[in-house]
Amino acid sequence: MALLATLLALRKDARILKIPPFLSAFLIIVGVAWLLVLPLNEYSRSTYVSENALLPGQVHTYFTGSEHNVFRAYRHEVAGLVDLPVQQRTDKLSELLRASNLKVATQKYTYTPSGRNISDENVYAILQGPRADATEAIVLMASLKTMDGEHNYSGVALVLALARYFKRWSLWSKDIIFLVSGDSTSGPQAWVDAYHDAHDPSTIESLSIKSGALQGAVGVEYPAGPWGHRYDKLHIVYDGTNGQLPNLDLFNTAVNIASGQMGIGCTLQRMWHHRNSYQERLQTMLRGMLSQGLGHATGPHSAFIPYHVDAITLVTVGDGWHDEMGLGRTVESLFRSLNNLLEHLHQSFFFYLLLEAKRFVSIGTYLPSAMLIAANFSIMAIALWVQSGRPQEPIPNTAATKPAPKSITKDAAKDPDEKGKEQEQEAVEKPLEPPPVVVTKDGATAIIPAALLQVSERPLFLPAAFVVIAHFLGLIPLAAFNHIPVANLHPSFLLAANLTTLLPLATAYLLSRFNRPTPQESTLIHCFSLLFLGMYLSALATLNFSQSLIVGLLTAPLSFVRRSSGSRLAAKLQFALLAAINPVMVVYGATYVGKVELLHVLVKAAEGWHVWGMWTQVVVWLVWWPAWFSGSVVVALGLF
Amino acid sequence: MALDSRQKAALFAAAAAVRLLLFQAFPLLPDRLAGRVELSTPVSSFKRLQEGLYLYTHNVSPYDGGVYHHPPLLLPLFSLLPDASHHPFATNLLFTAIDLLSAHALARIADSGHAAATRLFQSPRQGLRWSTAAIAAGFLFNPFTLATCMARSTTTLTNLFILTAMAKACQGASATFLLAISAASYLAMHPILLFPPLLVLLYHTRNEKLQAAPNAWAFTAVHTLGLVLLCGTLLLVSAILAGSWDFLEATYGVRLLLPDLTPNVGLWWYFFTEMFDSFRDFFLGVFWLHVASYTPGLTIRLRTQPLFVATTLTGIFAIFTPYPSVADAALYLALVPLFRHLFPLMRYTFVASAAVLYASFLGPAFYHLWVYAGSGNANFFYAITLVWSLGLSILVGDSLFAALRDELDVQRPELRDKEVKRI
Amino acid sequence: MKLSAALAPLLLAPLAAAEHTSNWAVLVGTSRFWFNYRHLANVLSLYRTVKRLGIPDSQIILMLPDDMACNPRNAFPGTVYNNADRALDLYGDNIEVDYRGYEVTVENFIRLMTDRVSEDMPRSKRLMTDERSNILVYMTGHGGNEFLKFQDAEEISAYDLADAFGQMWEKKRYHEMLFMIDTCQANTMYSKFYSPNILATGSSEIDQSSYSHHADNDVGVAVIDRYTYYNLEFLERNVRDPTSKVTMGELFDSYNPADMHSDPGIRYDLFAGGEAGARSRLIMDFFGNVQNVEIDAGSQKNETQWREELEAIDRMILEAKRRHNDTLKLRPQAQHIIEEVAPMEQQQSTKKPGAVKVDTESGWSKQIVGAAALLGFAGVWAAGSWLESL
Repeated sequence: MALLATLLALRKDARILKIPPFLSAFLIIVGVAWLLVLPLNEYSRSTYVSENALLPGQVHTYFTGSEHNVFRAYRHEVAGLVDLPVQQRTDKLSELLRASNLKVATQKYTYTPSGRNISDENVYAILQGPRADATEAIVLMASLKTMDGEHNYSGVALVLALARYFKRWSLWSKDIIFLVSGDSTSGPQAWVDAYHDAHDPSTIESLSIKSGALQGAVGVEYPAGPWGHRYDKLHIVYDGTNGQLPNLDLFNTAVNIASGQMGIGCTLQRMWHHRNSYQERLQTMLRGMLSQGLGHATGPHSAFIPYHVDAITLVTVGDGWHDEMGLGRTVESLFRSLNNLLEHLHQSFFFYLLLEAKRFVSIGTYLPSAMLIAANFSIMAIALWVQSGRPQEPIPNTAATKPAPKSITKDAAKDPDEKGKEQEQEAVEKPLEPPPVVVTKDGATAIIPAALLQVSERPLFLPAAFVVIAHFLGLIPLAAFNHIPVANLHPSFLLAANLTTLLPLATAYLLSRFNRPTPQESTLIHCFSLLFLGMYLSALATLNFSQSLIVGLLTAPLSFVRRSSGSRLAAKLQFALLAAINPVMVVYGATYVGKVELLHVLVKAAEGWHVWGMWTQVVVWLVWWPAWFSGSVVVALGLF
Repeated sequence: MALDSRQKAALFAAAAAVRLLLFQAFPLLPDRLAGRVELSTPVSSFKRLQEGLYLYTHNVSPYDGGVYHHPPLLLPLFSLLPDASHHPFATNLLFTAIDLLSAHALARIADSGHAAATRLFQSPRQGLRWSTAAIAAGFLFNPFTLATCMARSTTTLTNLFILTAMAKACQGASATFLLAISAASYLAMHPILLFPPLLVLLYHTRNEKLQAAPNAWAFTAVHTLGLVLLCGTLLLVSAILAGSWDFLEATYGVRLLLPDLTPNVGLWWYFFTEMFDSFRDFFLGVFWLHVASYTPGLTIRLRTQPLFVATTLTGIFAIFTPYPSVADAALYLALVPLFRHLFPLMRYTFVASAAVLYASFLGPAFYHLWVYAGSGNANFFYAITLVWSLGLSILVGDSLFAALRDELDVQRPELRDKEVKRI
Repeated sequence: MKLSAALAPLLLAPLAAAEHTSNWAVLVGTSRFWFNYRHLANVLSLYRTVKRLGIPDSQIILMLPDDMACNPRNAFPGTVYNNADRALDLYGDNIEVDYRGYEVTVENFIRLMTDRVSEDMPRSKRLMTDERSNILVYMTGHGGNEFLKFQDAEEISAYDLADAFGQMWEKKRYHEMLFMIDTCQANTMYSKFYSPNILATGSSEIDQSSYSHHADNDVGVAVIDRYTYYNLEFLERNVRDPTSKVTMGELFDSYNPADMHSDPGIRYDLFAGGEAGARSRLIMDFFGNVQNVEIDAGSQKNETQWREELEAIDRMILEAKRRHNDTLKLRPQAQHIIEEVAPMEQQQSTKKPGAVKVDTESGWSKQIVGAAALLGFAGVWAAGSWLESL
């Protein structure tokens, strides 16, 4: 309370208003610098397996010898069936699994995002643990197509071979489900939705047989043709939908087994050659953050993570000397470890950034950077609020603090030289303000909802209504981009790019025709939009750290733009800057830089919304875009 | 600054339109909100009401399932409406109407001007006030009120009766005041603690109305008797309806003894999940004593400003009762703007509102992390409920300070505008 | 006085050192779950050894909190091994577990040691020792500084253990005791002992971990701890039969901290005769069954008493049989009566005898009640308003 009182005393000082822009910039710089030091040894830690029960790599694996011949036979079978019609393919796969004495079932599914038709069929088999109580299950899966669109011959063959092999062991304490899905993301999504009865039965078939609660899932992608291919490394993919991550223990177990027991190198985030230098660690971390921030599905495992089922996908990469049996043994050992689990993986290992396969940064270390950037918006919002209340009142002097006459003189003395350009402009407006009868007192901190209407010194109605409407406006592109058919997606995107750039100008022009908003009101619009942005981003930082950070950085200029009163040039420059960070333009630029086809991004985004339950667009259109729009209108007002 | 009828009609029409539009545009939203722990507690949840209603219409005692904890009289009333899961419109309309009636009562309170000036006390800043329309709009368009209405929490009904009781007390209408306060107490039990301050308020207004002081003792005795009689009648009717007195245990018993530890925004549930059984009864007693102790203390200290005491008590209910929800906070936040004249004296409003705002965004996020994502735990959510309660209690404490400071300005005019320190 | 006090131990020594008449062993594993396989293997190894050296099952209290042999994760169902060569199945046949699963608690352990058990506790779960009994107490599990974890929820502290042993001494429940413990920071566990005649040894000092010896990669877990392994190795190698004269000192000398990866500790000071006395004790005094049985004089007299007791037991059994048969005859009749009378009343008295199908009220009575309540309230309200307007 003493600290608060000191702060409160400080707020009477006009100089305080000059600090926030610098403080905000400082916070952003510190936030970014914070990220840059994370790859150093002092701020990261070596990974370790925290769950005692896992005991990674403590078993001999026997998936070798004659199993190799079985595997090769399966691979030829799979090579023969990938091009068959769905029905025949399903029958054949079911037959193969049934031949291993497993219970087999199938599931048809159809999705129609942006007018496309994604329909296929999943085949799965359940191995009931011979001495288990059928209350828990782990999943081994392979999709017929990999994430890169290749045929996953060896991956599927490996699942079939391991199904046959696992059936012979008696030591399973959980059921094992073998899933061969039609495609790599929507297939597992349909299956896991139906497993938890969260599907739409009209388009997605319900599962006819089920097992217990899922404890973990492992996907395999090994796109080697019928004659095999020796690979160099295992690429472990771990991002889930909406940037949710699996428990780090699962990742660590996989790395521990693959590199420790089998001698297969592990890599992540497409860093094929990682020499563990600072640059490469940083690059890995940034790629991980980008992937997390996009929130998309990165493999068959992604669908499981929102259901609190820890899951990863193992992908073979490169040319080397490791063969399919090495991968098989890795999976075998991994399943022996998962089999040892006594309860869900639960250690506090859900928030992390990986720098390489054996080094990570935990949440306590990295979270401050996103929080600092979110805090910058809140600070500017407060500053703008104070500023909006300042010009027309002599002094924010509360009756409880200081005698009035003295402070008036003090403030008058300070007014001209101590306030920035914005205040000068508002000082000009001062005579226009209502007579100071009503506004003798400071209500500077009344953000209670009752203040939503125009009441006394601060005209709150227009700014609040404007910001609320801006947020609702975002619903239109959100709905549009999720429902427009593929053929029209690209043109509509270009239309949106033009419209969103022109809209602030048009709005500002229209508003200025009515001589509204007043400078004070535009400051309040700015204030409210930053306040909301700061609040959203700090809440988002707990859910998807990277997304919050990325959006925070891209919206950071909004903190520093102002409605310019004097020079048109300043307004034009500011507007040009804002036009460049228009969310639509940022997406466009990102696809250009990343050499991704724009249409592909749009299609995947719509698919993400309809199939994966991805929330990224919501953040873009209902958090980022309204903030940008409000800021742009404030700047554009300076043009008219 | 009384509300003229056209302004009022426009305001109420807009509020009703927003509610009905939200109900119609997002048909899944009410059920989703009704499942949120922040809005629906075991004693106010609409889903539980539906369960009780189902049992009731199927001739099974609604209290048999151990799910329904609302008072029995709600059942025949809601059985008049068509089934909310298939034909929600009538229910939506009812809850919209409840909000409008509450706003109407709030407008009456604001019109009476008793917030700043009573018979015995004239605030030196009584000119400083918001218009009735603003206050009513602040209640009607408060997101917390909207969310509560959408979740169809029965706390809205309690709030209606509390506001009506205050309005009637401001008008000096004894009979309807007694009816309203006993209905509120019947619904939620703790509003009975509002009786003493509101009785004082009623005494003042009667006094003004009749131009003569009624005998204080007789006045108190008559009204207390009236309250007891009315509450007794309500309970008796309930007992006849429920077929036995068992409902007492399932309704007020649950509120008193806290058997259901479903998380909520309050402070009790986490404390009692961690509690050793042997201390449970002791701490239940202490906690309840703590809540109840504010009534006599504040009523005596601020006897000249009874409406402020009642408002502060609703704030305390929103923090310290066993099953508080956002609806309780919405009631308090609706009443606070009545005391516009105290705002210049308050010092921590920004801190408080920032805490409340941040908590209302971070609360659902942390709840999600705990319950759905599985990557957080109960401590996350509890930490946020602590922030929420802290924000509200700063507001309560700060407004109390401001009221006392205001009083000091009257008693010691020479101290006006001088700095004071809390010791 | 001084002289006699000083002499007393000397005088008493022959008495105190008088031979014990029975040997008991309390073998406790305190951890459950598959990944703690080795702790159960430790205990079972000790069980095998003391049985080999002659302590009968009736004098061994074996506490096993989990059943590794029947764990679904066990690749060799029904077995527990303490070595990767899997030469000896510890579980085998002929094993008697006295406390198992969730019976293994701190309370049960302390009750067992101090014999504060209820009357109907079976003999197999009691430690029926007296002041002439030697006890071997072996414990293993996860521990820390002055505590040992029991299962997942509770722990026993060094003070609890010391007090339990203190009480045993007061109650004359042991003659000499060998306390062995294999856990992390094990030596802290015996640091609080105060009752006499306890020889204590542990696997590691404070702030030291105890390590497992090796894992069996087919079972998939570590199978034995180092301290236990080297103790067993010594016993297997040097104490081959119950006539062995190997002393405790030789066992202690075999401890090699380099092998164990921790510093085993030994506490002599409580033992009569101190370090020298303790070291000269035979291993068989604790691990084997006593050979010399003292026979009471006047066994003749006892024989008649014994016969009398036998006859008394016979009579008790006959009486119990008769009572049992009587109840058999009576019960059906009693039931018959109840059946005839009770259901009639029950049907009337209770509304809900069980699950019943419920239907929606077809009439409008509920709605009428509701409307009446609503109208009633509105009426009272209107009346109140009218009264006020007067």
